[in-house]
Amino acid sequence: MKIHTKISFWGLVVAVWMTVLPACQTDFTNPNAPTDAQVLSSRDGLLNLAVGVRVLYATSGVRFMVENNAVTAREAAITTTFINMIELEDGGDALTDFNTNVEGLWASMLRVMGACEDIVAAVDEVELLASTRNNLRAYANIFRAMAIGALAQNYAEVVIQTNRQNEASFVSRGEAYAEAIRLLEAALADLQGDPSPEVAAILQGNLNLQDIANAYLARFRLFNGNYEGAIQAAAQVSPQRTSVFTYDQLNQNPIWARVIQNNVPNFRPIDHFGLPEGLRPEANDGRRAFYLAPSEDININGFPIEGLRGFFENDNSPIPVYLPGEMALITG
Amino acid sequence: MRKVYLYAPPKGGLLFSFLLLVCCFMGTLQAQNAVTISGKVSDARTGEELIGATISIQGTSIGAVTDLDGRYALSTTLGQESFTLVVRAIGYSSQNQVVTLGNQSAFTFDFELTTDVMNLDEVIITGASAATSRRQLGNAVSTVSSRDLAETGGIAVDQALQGKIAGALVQQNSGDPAGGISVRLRGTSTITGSSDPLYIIDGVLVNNNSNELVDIGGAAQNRLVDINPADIERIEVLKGAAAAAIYGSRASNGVVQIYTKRGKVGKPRFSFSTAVRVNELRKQIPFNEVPFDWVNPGDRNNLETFPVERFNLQDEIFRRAGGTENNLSVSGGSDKTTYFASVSYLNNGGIVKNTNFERIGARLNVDQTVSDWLKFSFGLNYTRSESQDMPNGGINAVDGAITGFLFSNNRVNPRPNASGVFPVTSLLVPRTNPAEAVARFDYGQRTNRVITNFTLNANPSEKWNITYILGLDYYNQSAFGFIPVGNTSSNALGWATRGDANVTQFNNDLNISYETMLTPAIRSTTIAGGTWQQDNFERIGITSDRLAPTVRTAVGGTIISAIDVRSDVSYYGAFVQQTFGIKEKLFVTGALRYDGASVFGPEEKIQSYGKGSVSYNLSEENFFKETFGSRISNFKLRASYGQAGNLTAIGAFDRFLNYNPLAIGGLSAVVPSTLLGNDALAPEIMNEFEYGIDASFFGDRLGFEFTVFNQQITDLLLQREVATSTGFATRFENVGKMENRGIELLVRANVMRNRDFNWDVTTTFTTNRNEVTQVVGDRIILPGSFGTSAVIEGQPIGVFFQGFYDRDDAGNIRLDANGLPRRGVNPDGTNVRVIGDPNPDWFGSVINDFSYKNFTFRVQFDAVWGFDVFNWNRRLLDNAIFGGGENAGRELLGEIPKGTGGVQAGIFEEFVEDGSFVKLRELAIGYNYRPKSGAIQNVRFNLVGRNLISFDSYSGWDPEVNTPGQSNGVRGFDFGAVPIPRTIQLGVNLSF
Repeated sequence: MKIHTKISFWGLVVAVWMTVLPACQTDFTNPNAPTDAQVLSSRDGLLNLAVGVRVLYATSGVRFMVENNAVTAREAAITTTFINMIELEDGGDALTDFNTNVEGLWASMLRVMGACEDIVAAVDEVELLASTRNNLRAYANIFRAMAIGALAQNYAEVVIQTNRQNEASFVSRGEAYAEAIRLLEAALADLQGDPSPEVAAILQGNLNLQDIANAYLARFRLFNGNYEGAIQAAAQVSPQRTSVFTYDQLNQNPIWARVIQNNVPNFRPIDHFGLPEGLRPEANDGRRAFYLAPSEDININGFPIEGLRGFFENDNSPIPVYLPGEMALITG
Repeated sequence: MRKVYLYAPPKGGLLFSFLLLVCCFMGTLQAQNAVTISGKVSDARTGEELIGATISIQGTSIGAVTDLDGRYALSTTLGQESFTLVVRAIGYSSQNQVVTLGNQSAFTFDFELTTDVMNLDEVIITGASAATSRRQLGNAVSTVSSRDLAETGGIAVDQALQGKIAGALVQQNSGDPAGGISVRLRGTSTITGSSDPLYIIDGVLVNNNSNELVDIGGAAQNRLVDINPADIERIEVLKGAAAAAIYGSRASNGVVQIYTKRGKVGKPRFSFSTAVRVNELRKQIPFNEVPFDWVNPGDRNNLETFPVERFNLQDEIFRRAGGTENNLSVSGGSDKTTYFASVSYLNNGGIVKNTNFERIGARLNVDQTVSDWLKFSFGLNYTRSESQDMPNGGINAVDGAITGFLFSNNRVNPRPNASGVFPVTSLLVPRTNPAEAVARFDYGQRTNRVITNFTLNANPSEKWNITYILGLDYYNQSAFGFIPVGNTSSNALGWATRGDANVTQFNNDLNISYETMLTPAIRSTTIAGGTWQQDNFERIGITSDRLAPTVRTAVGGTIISAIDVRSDVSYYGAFVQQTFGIKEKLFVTGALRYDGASVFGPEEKIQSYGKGSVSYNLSEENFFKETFGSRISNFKLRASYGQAGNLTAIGAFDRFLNYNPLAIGGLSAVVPSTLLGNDALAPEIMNEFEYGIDASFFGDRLGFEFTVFNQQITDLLLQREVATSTGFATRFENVGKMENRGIELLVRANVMRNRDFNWDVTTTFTTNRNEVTQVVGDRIILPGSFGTSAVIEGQPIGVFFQGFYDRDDAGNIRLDANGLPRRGVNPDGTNVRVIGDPNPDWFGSVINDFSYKNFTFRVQFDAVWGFDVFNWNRRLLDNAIFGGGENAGRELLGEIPKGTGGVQAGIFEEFVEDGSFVKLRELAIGYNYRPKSGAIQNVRFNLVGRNLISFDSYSGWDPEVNTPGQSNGVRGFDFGAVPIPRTIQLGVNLSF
């Protein structure tokens, strides 16, 4: 009998091993997110990434562009005790390099640039309609230029090309604008031919790439002292159309989320846009009623503050990519 | 007579060849005539019969266990002329008896055992597969018995371990009724991952996640809370890498092996215990009681005030809460089948209103003997844990009761008006009126969990022992949160969330041991084993705000976030361990393990871990016995080296560059993760040296265990910041180094003993110096610490790195013309520096156990000394713009300049306080009554107190808590954390 039971012990062990072994996997595919290899090697991946770039720019990018400038320029005043906001309002030595806002603007623009560079490099490796290839390249170059320009507007020296080996080099503000201008000019050239139905589908009629390229070209040429070129580009922007970033409940208008959401503002506009006496818009200037909701509140540091309206009243309020009025100012 | 066995021809495959080889060894057995041995085992001091003592034949796996009357009987057909019987019982010194076979076939031996203060003869199972006595081990192993776990007032296993183990810092992070607990064995051993040990219950690798499915401000339960301490027979704690090496890639934080109660041969034996408890806040903190307030709190120059009435908002939050605990178990069995079954119910009220924890559990352990060489056992544990939670703290979410208290100006009467609307008490920023939070918020979670083990154990011959374990741990944890429409919180329009996690852990282990006498003096034990493990984690959740009135579910409003995350990880490995025991004096062990895990890069998947240890029982040498024998009864030197790994730092797919999917306006989109992929990731490796002395004196009445350890942890996985010019923010790399160096001391003394009175003292003392010896880049600021807790080279993990006071050369704080302090500036122009360290210099405990006749009395003091706590509460309370704190009142009274608290808020150093404490952790009084006749065998009454008194200088409620819960690196962080309550429990146990 012993022989029987002995075999049955191993029989049991083997039986259990056999039930278990088919489940023995040593490699798993990530069901939650695709990898770079999957995204950059397919048409769908590239188009999805193009939409992602826009969302990134329009949410965290726009948040920091507006918030950092508004608070440091005293257009807005903080209404929380979070240290990043306190430092931002204190300014000077108190504002550290590792402040969330200082880092956030820098990092989100470089993320946009990195992803755009990936798209530009990948369009030639994936089978695409010629128009899609050109339009996608133009789209990526426009966002890349916008990101470079945003960096140049906020930092003295910037990076214009990401590098995963950590060998990126810094260039001056002027050189950065020059690169942004070059990219926008290239994009306009790429947009010459037939429009791509696939790229048009991801624009959803909210963004006009020619207008955006020309508007930013006008802005950056202006900053770089090429006034003639600036006027020329601004004139190309149709005053009849607007280009807007759209939002929804899961990709919220970032300024709404920071100021209006739940009535827990992180900052609010200072009375008269924070402008000193003499520079303030007139009392009946339409911008006052458009952007500001009157309030008697005073912030922690004693600034008189107002409520915010403008393009930020709801979680899905669209934010314009540029203000047509800016073009009018450039063209004079 | 020699038996001949026939086997089926091999069907191919290595496994079968191996099995055949094993079976061939079995074939060499010889049969002999049976010998029976029987007798009785009792306590040498009291004469009481010892139940559950084991009697075994040395060098074999033949043995028996004493029954309820202390009797045993065993039979053997061993073909030796003589052999040694070894008698062991938990808490007693072992005894040997040489048996010489003549023609006699029946022997009777009675044994009287003396208590073993140092547990030198205790049988250790963990880390060895085959049971080994502590004497043989080259590393320190701590054990805790069911007796130590009873009458602690703790509701969870880890909580009950507080202060019981040298080298283990057990911290309760929250005073919630199922408040999370962190266990650090010899310090923190990772930066990014978890430093909590690996928990194994009856061979099942159990999950101890601290899932934060709904943000309740930072605190979270750890899932060990699902285990009922009353079901536990004993716990073995392996603190070092040497002991843990054979557990491989998951073991560098140490291993806690839990063994649950098992049935014993005999008629059914019932045990019933019931207890009622009271939890209460130990103390209230002072608050602003000044009957006037600033007209303009933000303006330092405006000293105008107006009269107000002040309220004590703590009364709105805290309460005295009750609880009950009932356990019923039955055990028994026949020669072939034994069983242990239990049901339990726990209800633990929280000291914060509207909080509660309930646990219902059932367990069944069955052991079946199939034949004289084959056994199997089956264990099943079902638990349902349910809690009512209240958000407090505010690492991310800021809605909560204590959180609201911190921001509130207590001049506002917090009670609702006649229509039930609560007033806004936080006048500056929208934070919840604490009275409204406890009255209207509805948060909770529910866990349904099943832990199953199936174990096969074979002793095909006296020399072979084969164990196969299949373990399965599954739970569903479901949490929800609800803030009704129209309230004072930051979610005024209502908010609802629901989050579920499904967690499965599966392990499959085969261990084979072979023990033989190579020569009469050298015993060899070889163990080889293999494992296959797979973990599956699935999480789903939705959150919405702008709720429709009366709706409480998360689809009743605008969905603002939704997640669905799944991951699988597999682990596989094999090890071999060899021990040589030379004349039962010197034991040398070496082991090697290969381990693989799916999370690592292709080149790094397989890792090897080694260990080596030596244990030398000097007191067994004749010269020693002759010289010191009368005073020093045991003296053992030990040394060990081991390696173990940790892979908790990275998730299943963190080595890839992943693109996060999202959708907008009907379009699919992907966004590159900020985490750059790295295909070369490997586990963190701990190398540890440990040296120690175990000694006992005066007939084992005084003993100590002393260990020096040095852990060097390399290849630490850091989510290293990469230059943002890469287009990414971070990347995991094996770049950090860390060390833990310290000592552990355990002293046990039997101060006094006679027939009626016994007094034992147990003291533990541990020091540990943790140092991060390498991080790439200047420093890492730990997430979830408000930019305050940092990892800095040359410093312990998690030091507070923030603004400091401007001081004169004598170290006094410099005041400006207005009498206000200023923030200091370093010579290099920066204005931050290390201002505190949350890691204790030392910790320890003193436990006094008295028994007099039928009375027992135990008192345990725990001390944790030399650590800092960042008191974020005071940073808000003291600030005049919020105005609820005591110092805000002192500003009103003019005792300190107006604005002091506001300036201090920007200096930070002010709020770093010494957290050192001594707590009266446990006080237990028990009375045993044995009715002379009747069904009831024993009645025990007990009165237990837990966390009764704290001696500390901390200005907050409790220096022991940690708002970010079981966070690895962010410690000593008090921001609206619930203090640990004082608990008093009255219970009765019946055995029948």
